[in-house]
Amino acid sequence: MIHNERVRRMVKLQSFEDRKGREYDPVLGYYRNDYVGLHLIKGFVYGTISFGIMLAAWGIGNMAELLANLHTMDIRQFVIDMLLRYLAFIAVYLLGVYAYAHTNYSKAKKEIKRHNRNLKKVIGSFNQDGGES
Amino acid sequence: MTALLEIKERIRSFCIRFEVYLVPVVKSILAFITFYIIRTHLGYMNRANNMTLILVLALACALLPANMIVVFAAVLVLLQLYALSKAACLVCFLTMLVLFMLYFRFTPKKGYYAVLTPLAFVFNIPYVMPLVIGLLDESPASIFAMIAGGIMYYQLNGIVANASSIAEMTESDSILTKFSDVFNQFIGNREMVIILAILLASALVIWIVRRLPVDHAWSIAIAVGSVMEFVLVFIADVQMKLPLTMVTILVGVVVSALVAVILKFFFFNLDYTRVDRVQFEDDEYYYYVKAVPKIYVSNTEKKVQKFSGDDTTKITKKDIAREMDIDENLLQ
Repeated sequence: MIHNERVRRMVKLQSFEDRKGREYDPVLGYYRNDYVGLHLIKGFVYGTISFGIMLAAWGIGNMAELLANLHTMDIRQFVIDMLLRYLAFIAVYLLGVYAYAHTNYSKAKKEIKRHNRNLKKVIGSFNQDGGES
Repeated sequence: MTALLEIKERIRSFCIRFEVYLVPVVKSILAFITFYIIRTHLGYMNRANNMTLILVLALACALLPANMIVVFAAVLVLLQLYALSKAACLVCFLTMLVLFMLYFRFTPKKGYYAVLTPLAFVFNIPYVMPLVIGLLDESPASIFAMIAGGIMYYQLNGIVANASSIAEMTESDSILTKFSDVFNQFIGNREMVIILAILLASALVIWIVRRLPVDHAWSIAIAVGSVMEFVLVFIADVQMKLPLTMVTILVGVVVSALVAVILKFFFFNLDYTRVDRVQFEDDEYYYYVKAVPKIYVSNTEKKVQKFSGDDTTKITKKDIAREMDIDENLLQ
């Protein structure tokens, strides 16, 4: 005799494994703070490289003006200005990365909990009638 | 209305039954349209304009992940720009690199929004993208993919608009000069910043309103989003003197709203007149549940019953005898 409810749950379990299992596997291996921290580190590296590229492109794009004003401008102030822009950029970007990582972790944990509840019900159903499918 | 619902159910059943074939076909068509538009709008490299190449790449995209459409489109764009100017190609490559590093980590599986956004701009309906993302996507992170697509569109549009002057730069002009000109044209594009800011704000508002626990949330989101987009773009057009016409804006917003209504019909058709409110509890929680039934019409099964005058069956004594279980000779 086929247990419709059990088969329905098993299909849902397999569908979760196929679609989201791989995506949420990394979440299982970390505590929340570690997962968010890892994303923040990656975000910091990528954000710094991106800012570097944008700054270099801007520098090349305004090379003529920069070279013309090099002897008159306050280089110290210029460097501080660039540093402040970098800090503002990286702060906003890392805030976005933090929000994303935090939300992703919470969502993954919730779905994994639901998946485990489903799994327990299927196992319980099997134990109830001796593994007859 | 019932007829529309029946059509919707037929389309839904068809899509579910043939999903395995439909998804590659749709990916292939989207890829072909994208590569063809790149060919017609850029078209500086003869080898990259080859229709056979475009067809082969489009067919390959049918079997590959959806993000490969973005990768192939990026390669084609860079090849086309390389034929126009190395400086333009370098600026575009650096933009793609920065966008990839900044946005791709948020939405690695939403690359098709980065492809659909430029297509929407080409067809003058960019206002549809915030509606699509706000209504259909679970996460607002997909908005970054839309912004990335918008940035690429404006950059390429600027290069195409100034293609003659970029191509005219002689070999004696240093690559730094050429790079500087192309880069400053891109950075100085006010229209890009304003329009993308409007699309970003609209998408966020639509996403938030759609998720509110109120009746007709989707309809309210579509109405609010469309009006917001029209008003903001109109104000920006008047104040900043953008190169947009009132008719273009109005038609674009109306078409986008129609597309959103069709999406709502297919994906979120609820009957708010039959709302059910229930309360129950389990071991962990006490539930207050509001259940809104979906409007659903089952497919009518056609039964064909033939009434034919020619249907005469000859009954013999043998048949009657067999029926009555008696000897045939007893019948006269």
